[in-house]
Amino acid sequence: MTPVDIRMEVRSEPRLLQSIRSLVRCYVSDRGFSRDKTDEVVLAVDEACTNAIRHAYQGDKDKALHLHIHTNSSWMEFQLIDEGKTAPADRVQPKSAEVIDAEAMTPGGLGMALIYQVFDEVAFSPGSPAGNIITMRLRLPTPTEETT
Amino acid sequence: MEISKSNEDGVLVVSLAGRLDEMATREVEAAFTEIVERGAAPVILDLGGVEYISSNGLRVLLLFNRGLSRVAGQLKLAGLTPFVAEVFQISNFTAVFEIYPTRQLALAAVQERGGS
Repeated sequence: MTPVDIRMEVRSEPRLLQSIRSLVRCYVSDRGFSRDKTDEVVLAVDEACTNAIRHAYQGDKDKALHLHIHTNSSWMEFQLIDEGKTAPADRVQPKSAEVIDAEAMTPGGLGMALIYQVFDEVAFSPGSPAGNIITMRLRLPTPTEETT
Repeated sequence: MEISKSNEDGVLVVSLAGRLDEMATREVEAAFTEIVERGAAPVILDLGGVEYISSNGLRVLLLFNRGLSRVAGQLKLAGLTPFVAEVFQISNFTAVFEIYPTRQLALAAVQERGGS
């Protein structure tokens, strides 16, 4: 098993997502990302968790969300694992990072679109025996990038 | 989430404060639905107190805008905080809404349109 920096398990209660947001903010800001980028990553991870609660667990607050966070020399990686209903492929198809057409966007597609906008790589795979694994990767900032 | 309404020179100003996320959207959506059901009117939505917005919050704003458009109303947003402005930027919501730096400027725009 690949070693990770953080393994976190949180019950699928929306109020508890605050603990994930705080941890992600702390982890990201500590690794040289700008405040704006940190805010975006916190938002996108929050969206992934909210989607898992809403769609995979269909609002059941007594399931588990597993978040693994790891950084190597090039990437920071967040992996969110649920054990709920596996998402149909058309809901999670990779999209390009083109500008979102917010006017044409169905309201339900906004969360996924934000995730794709924020991360450099996003991949979905079905869990085993059920559930979903979403892997979100971010290139590490170069030393010349601002960290304000 | 705090929701307050006031009438400023005949324009309905709705102010939101707090986190516009999954937990808050039901309450906000109900307030917006009530406004849309009242019919056509200019509405200024002051987001100066909103510290966080999720996609669910964006969804509620989008539906409010669409609802007001259906009844020939008009929605102007004002006072976006830096975080909310950033989320609008990455989601391209800046292209969907009329956004003003302050509620006073939004009010002036409504009055200018009404007087022209």
